[in-house]
Amino acid sequence: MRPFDYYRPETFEEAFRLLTLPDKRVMPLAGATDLIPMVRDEHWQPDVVVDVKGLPGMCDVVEMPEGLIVGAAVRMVELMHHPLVNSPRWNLLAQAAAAMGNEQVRNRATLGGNLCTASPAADSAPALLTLEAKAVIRGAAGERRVPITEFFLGPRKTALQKGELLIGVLIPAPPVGAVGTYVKLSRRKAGDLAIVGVAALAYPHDGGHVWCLALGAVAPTPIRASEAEAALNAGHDEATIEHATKCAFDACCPIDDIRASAEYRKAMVSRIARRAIEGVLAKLP
Amino acid sequence: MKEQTSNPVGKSVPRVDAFEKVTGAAKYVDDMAFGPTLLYGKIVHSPVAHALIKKIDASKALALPGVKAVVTGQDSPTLLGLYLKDRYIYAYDRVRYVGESVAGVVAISEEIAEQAAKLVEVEYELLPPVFDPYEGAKPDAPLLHPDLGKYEVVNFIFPEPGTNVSEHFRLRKGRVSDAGVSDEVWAQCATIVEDQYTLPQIQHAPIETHIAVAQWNPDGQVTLWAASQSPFAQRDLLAQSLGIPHGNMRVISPYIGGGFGGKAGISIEANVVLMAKAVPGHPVKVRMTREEEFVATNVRQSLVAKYKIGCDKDGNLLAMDLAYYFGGGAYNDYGVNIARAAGYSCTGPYDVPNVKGDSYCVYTNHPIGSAMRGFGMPEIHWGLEQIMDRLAEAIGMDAADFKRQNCVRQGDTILTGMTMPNVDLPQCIDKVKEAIGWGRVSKPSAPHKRRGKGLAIMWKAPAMPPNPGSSAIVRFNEDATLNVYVSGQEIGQGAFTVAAQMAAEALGIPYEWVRVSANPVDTKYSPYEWQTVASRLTWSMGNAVKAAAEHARGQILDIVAKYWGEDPADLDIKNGVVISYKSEREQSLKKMVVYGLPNENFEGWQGGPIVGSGKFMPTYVTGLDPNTGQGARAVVHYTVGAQAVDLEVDTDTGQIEVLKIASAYDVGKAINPDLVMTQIEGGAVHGLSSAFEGMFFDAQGRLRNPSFVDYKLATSLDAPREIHGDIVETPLEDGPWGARGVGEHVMVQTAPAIANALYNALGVRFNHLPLSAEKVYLATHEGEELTCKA
Repeated sequence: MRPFDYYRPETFEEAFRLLTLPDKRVMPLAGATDLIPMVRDEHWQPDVVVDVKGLPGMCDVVEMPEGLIVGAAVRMVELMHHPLVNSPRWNLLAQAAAAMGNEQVRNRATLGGNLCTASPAADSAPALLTLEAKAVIRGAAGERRVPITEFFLGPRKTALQKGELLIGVLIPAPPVGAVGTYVKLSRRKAGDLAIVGVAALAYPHDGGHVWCLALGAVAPTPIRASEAEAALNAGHDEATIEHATKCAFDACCPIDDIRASAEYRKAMVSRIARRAIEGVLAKLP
Repeated sequence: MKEQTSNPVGKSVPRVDAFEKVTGAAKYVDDMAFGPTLLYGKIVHSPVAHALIKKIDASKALALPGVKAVVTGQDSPTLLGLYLKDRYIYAYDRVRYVGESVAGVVAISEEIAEQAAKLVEVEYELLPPVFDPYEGAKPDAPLLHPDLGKYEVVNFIFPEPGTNVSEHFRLRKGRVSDAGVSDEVWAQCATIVEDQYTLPQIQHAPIETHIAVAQWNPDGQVTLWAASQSPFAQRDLLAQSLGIPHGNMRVISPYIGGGFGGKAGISIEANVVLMAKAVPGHPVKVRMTREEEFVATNVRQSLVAKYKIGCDKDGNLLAMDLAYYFGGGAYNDYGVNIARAAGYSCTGPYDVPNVKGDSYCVYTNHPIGSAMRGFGMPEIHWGLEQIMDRLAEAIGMDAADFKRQNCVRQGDTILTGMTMPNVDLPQCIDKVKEAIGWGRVSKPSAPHKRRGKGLAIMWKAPAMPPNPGSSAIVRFNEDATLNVYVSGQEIGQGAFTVAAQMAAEALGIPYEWVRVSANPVDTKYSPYEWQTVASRLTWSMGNAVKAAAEHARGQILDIVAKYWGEDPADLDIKNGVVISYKSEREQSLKKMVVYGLPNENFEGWQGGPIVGSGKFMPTYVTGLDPNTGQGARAVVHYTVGAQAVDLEVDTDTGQIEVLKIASAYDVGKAINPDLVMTQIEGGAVHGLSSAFEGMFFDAQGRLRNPSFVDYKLATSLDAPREIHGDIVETPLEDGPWGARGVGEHVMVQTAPAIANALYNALGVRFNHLPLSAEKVYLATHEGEELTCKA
């Protein structure tokens, strides 16, 4: 492992100064569950590591008129147990947090880290996609908000520019009556990455329901399955569900890896999507 | 000393090491401090699977500030090995697997050593690799060890120079020839199953990776601190290979954080000793990263197994034609004996009149296949125990009845010609049938799920040289507490606890009075023990402890008898007090076991500090005919057992949930029933884990999953909800209180039991480990349109 300098700034000014140090490879650090293994194996070789956990608001969960603001350094274990996240409105995120890693990992891993690593299999991503969250990004020039759908550009690629930090996620309150389910398929019951992850959310609207469906680990980024959503918005009888799962299947383009073949992943997308949809249906009044 | 447990053998007394380990007070090698002269070593690993070494240039590494030395194969061109001396400590002229030690760098910090290791430049000339043991055994396969014929080898291992076969064990029984079982025998079979089963290499994955510290003093005294199952075997191997007098070679081994066979024999320890030689007087420490542990230490061998097995219409097994090709990896110094063990036990626990078995250990360009819990038995039972089910089904018989009908019973003349010692396998089968509800169909928890039950039986003998020895010393303290000196390693199995129980029982003192002085095991002060392997400690070390305790007891009784003017035969020791059945006198052991007893009017004294010693070595194992595998006594004994599995499969995803595992093993005598149960529980989870994971290599021989992110062990969440255990006790003739070992057996047949349950649930057979949800899904949805859901 290549040695690096470690800083824990307490102001954003100091953080941005460090992040833009000339001629230095600088990386932010939150829970370090991804960073340390990558640095240890020298896939990443930062000169400077900036711990963001001391920055104002990074570890806070606050309800604002526009929705819930979750600081980027809030840990998965906190999401699981936080009363606001666990409230009916945002409970889908708590489910996703509980599905991530294992007890030890969830005690360290943060929401911001999970998103910035930009793994297609990030468990929090499908939940945030269906909740139509926005990434709150801050740089020396100010703050900007990016819809989560535009945050992921590819495996390990995000919309963050050099010198910018993801400081949190803004999650609007879904309409009243919304219920959501996250279903994850993995080889083991805990401590494993998703083979397929599906988040589904539905809320009553105009006598029917509006559906949101997002898929993880089956494309270069987590994706919304908009055709499946459109199908479900029309109703959710068996034939429609079957059609929606077919749409989800068509939306994905998975790869082979050590965890599963593309063939198995494709087959599982429609099944896990069905489970997520059925999970939501069971919760709808 | 509140509790006073008299006669502790057979009682579930608490472990002697429990508090120390639970509280974190127990010390492991990495906890030991070596002072300011400590240096750090890093091994340079081969990035290629098979190549000639053209040149090693360490000049850049040596130029890095803080680097003290670089050692290579040129520094020690001598061979090392337990049964077959086939490897250099550092690769000499060629490398044979990705991960092989090519050089060792010593520096003032771990970071500098790691950096310097990257600066060692090695020029390779690639050679064609061999990865598949079956292909590798063919005469035209690229040769990995052209010098095989020159290697030193023990007299019961038979390498085939000019090929990649490092061991070929032949078993011929009944109407068979080298060409196979006689056609007339096959003609009598009502049904024959012929098939191939395979399994990949797997890793032991101990929580504590391999770690060693070595110091080579200018006066020639060498000390090695190692996480080791084999301090004495390592001393012997290092002394032989490096020309160090045994008395100058000292191995110290404190507690170890998991062994499972991976820390048996010798691995990186020799590399560290050579690093230390280059920096006299400095201790040098090397600890494997998890990634290194996966490829650069030891792994379980892979296997390609070909079976042809037939039975008559009444379900009597008539013939087995077996060929086992073990993928031994690059060096087979220990692995040759796995193929041998699989050879002399090739039929599994069955009585079969006609057997042709060939078991090969084959060199491949993969990591070193070595000892792992089960030692060849999980590998061969994977196919055997499924084929038994297939035969039973073909003739319309219940699989458990089929196994019960054909299994070995005491007194049988087994495949090697040896008489089967006392065991009760039918009782084990009956126990697990009852525990699992055999024959009763359970309802699945959801419409898309299927339930299934499977059963598998096993046998395993300790696989060792004919004469591995144990010794023990007991020594009293003033307050009559007793120190027991042994060198069996406490690797979690409870060896220290049963040693204490046996010493207390044999001496007649409470269990709580006994201290086990074996942490660390130190070859300079501890009595000899061959290795902590082969499930042999309870039996072999136990016999030595019992003998040592009886030796001490005899001394005490003699002293007291003389003091009282009585016959020692009338005396006994109960709960730490010598009593006379004749005069009803009593004498506490306190003080007298060190100071002795005064004569009347203090006219002189009797006795003195009591020290007892004992030893055990099996003396009755005979050689086997190299052409037929026949001989009077192939092994010391067998432990047998049965396991049954109840599981549920999700037909939508292929996910398997093992609900219950029921086990029954004939342990002879459970010295500590709770410890037997913990073995049964741990074995069931280990066996389950081994069924669902494997090492996967790319076409260049590089491991694709050398981390716990990608190599998934079963965790507590994956363990069955219920693990049931039954203990059968058919005493072993030469076991202490009748005990035989059970440490390895508990995981041998878990994978085939799961496979049999999967067949019961789905009607689909799986021949290749590991199992996975994906495999189950693809096998059960073959040819289906991927999206269609009925």
